[in-house]
Amino acid sequence: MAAPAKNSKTAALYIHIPFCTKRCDYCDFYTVANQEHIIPSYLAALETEIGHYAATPPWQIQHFSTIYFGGGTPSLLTPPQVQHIIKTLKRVFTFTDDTEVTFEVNPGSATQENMHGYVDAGVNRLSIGAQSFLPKELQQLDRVHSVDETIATVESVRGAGIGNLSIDLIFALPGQRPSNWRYSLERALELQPEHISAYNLTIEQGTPLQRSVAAGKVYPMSEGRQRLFYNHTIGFLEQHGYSHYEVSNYAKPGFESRHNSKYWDGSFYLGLGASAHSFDGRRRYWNVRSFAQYIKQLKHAQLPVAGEEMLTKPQREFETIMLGLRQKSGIDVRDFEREYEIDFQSKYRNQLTKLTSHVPPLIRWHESRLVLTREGWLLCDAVCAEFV
Amino acid sequence: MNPATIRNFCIIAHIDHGKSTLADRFLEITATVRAGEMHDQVLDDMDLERERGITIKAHAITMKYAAVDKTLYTLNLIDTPGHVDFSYEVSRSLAACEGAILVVDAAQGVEAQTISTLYQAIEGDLTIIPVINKVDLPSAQIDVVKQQIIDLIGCDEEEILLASAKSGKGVQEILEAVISRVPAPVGDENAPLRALVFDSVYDPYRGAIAYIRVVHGEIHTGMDIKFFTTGKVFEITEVGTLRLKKEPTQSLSIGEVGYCIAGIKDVLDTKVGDTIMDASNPASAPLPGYREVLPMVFAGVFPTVSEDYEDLRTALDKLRLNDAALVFEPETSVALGFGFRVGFLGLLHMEIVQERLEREYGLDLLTTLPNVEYKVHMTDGRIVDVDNPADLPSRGGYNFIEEPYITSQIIVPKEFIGNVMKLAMDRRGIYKNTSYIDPTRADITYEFPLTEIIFDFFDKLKSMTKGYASFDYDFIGFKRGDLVKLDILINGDPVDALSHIVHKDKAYDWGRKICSKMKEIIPRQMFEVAIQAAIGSKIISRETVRAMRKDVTSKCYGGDITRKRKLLEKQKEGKRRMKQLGKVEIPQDAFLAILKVD
Repeated sequence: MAAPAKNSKTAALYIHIPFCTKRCDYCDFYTVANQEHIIPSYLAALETEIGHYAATPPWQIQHFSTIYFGGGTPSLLTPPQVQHIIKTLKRVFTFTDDTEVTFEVNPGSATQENMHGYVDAGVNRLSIGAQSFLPKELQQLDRVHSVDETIATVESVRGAGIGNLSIDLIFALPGQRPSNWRYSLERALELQPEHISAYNLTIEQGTPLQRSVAAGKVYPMSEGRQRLFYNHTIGFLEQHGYSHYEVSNYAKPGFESRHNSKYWDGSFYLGLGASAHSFDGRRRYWNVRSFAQYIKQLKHAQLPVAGEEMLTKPQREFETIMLGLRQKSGIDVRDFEREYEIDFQSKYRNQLTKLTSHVPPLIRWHESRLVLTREGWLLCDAVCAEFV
Repeated sequence: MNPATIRNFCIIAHIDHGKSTLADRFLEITATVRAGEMHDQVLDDMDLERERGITIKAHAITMKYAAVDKTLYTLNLIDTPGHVDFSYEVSRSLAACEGAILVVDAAQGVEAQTISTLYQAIEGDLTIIPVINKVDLPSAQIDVVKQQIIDLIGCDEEEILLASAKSGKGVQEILEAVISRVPAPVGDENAPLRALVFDSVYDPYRGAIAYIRVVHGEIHTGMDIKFFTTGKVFEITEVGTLRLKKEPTQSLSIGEVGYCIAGIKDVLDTKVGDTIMDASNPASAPLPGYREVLPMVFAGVFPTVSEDYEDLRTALDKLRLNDAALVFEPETSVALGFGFRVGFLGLLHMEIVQERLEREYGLDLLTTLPNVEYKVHMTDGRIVDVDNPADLPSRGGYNFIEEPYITSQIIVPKEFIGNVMKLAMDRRGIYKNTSYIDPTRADITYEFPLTEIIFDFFDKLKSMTKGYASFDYDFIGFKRGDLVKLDILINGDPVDALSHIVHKDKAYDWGRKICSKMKEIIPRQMFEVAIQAAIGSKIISRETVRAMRKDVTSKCYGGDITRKRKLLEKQKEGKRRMKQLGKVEIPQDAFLAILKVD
């Protein structure tokens, strides 16, 4: 086995809570509805898994600087449950003092009291899945919460003293008018979040939404219109002081999601819980999707790993490009050349020529960094594909 | 051997009418094949032939039969290829025989291919023994088929034998009829050697082996022979008869069928239909009927990955060793790179070669739309043969173009005559004549430009006649046609591999269909792609593949990265197989899809 990769960056830790009160029509994450009674066994299994990695290289020597509770609906956990997990983690792993602890909540799923409890447990960043501020659109997305619940949740987050709040929004809904999207953006800004994730609705294979599209009941938005929405989003949020620092993410200065940035800058990450992915610089592996399987395997002292891949050097190189280009900061070519011991400009001469001579250009140089242009953002995947 | 005890014959039958089964029964009755050696249909020994139920190459076998008259006869069964692409080979096989068994399926009746081969046999003065096969079938219409046969060959009803090759019923009677009705071979024992080459095969250890029928004189080991058409001389190292395996003998004399080996390196030196003579005492004239085999259909054959070019050349060289009808020369296409322009006898021949290249040599190939050969009458009086549309001179350079024509025979139940006529009209058919084989079935003669039938004519004909039509054709010559070259342009650049010569009246329709098909197949790129069809500088059709306007994955977090990377890697793999035309990437499918334009 290859020696663990050197990494001067701190690591990220992800905890997956797969439970939801209901599945949403567009969601392709691993979640299960109406299974909350399983939570205690799930958390017991999680603790076993934590125990395993606490003694396993390279994790036992990492300095972690983020914890992220994602789902699913982490807010289905009680504050004591959250507190127990965080305590356990802090006991067995090394964390930096300023560790970012993010917790995802669905509007209406957490009381004011619970919110205080999460903060007391150590949560210092909240991500709220608002999605839209129009009741009709929430209905269209099959969300169970109301606009009022979103606002109430934000208030309780602020009330609990959280100074780092992110709001998730979705745009390019079938039939959505630009004015409606603008309305949601404006309402979100009124709540003065430090961070906004604005996702272009993706019709994922196997979701109920995709079946409706296939059946001709729903017409997806045209690409031309999606461009318009996306460009508008970038312009509007930048204008209001949010930096467009990744394809779908916007933040006030200093409030970029540290956890998510670690996925894009090559940091190690340890994912715990059903379907969670981990990466140690060479190897990426992922847990079984089924929480029942997850619990069962850990009960029998087996790792719940479902699959893994060892990244080859060209694959790591390509991932660095693919993930680098997704960010405003782009690819730092000097770092890149140092890490992969290649001459970037000569290796990718054809691609660079093609993409810079495209009308309009898709990439540009910003000092020693290669970054996407405005048009490049719209064609990010096609641009990345050139570098495979 | 006494020629009076030799009978040389063949079997004429439509596909599936029972030729191979009947041959198998002969082999059993004559104990040529012992029990245990028998596997069904011994004569068709190529996998492809068995799959397609047709015989591609002729073979022959010698059987010893003790007849009812207590004489031991030598029966030479010479097989004939069962497809129109190989009609010349059929004619040479027939020329090696004195008799032919006409096998007609009791349920199906007479079919076009049977008739055309039968006419060749009658023209060659062969004695015809009519047999109705599969008489045990519940759907057998013996009386109807009898009448068809009587009308066709003018025989008496009593001459028609009834058989079931499957059960063996009536098979011995057929062999007896071969002996009593087919004349023994006649030749001049003392005249200089003349032997007909009716087939040849290539053996990697022994070279080209000629299958021959001795007409006059004698051929023996050690003798120097000369091929009439090439004038080349070889020393015979072995002659023999074709039993289940080759059995060497000292010599072969008049009427005998067998093989000869003479260290011949190339099948091109053992041309089917050629005459073998005694080099030291050559006859004054060859046997009649030799014809140079000419390819009728041409297509570009390209490896999908350019590194396979040398492998393709090697494979074609090897195939040609056994297939003198295969011709090829290197071709370079801007779109497809290095490949070969290959000439075939017909579409079936083309399919067979393609399949053998892919199956036996593991090649991944791209074959362009097949075309015929044109005679281009230049303004300076020269006549230029053009077998590649990309080579057609510009319009100002020639006066007119001639294209090959065929005469065809289509046999259909009469209720489908209307459909056939419709199809024929669509394919520029020239109506000649209709006759009736029996009250329900018509025999229609049309002339067609060959280019109209090489493509999907037979499939169309079959589907328009619920599978009942049978079809056969013969080349008749070149006729002037109002033809134009249709180019396909991608972002303004002509794609040589997609150029095609078409009749002026069809150009617009063809161009429109190709453009819309290409639009379906060319994936969207980061810029707009224009697909145009043009005649000279005149654009007659256009489609546009819109530029990709948005292509970005919204979410790419820890659990999405592997999936995303794999997706892009897969895309890249697909792209690697695309052909680059200027900036535009075109899937290989685009070049195949044009074959499927409806």
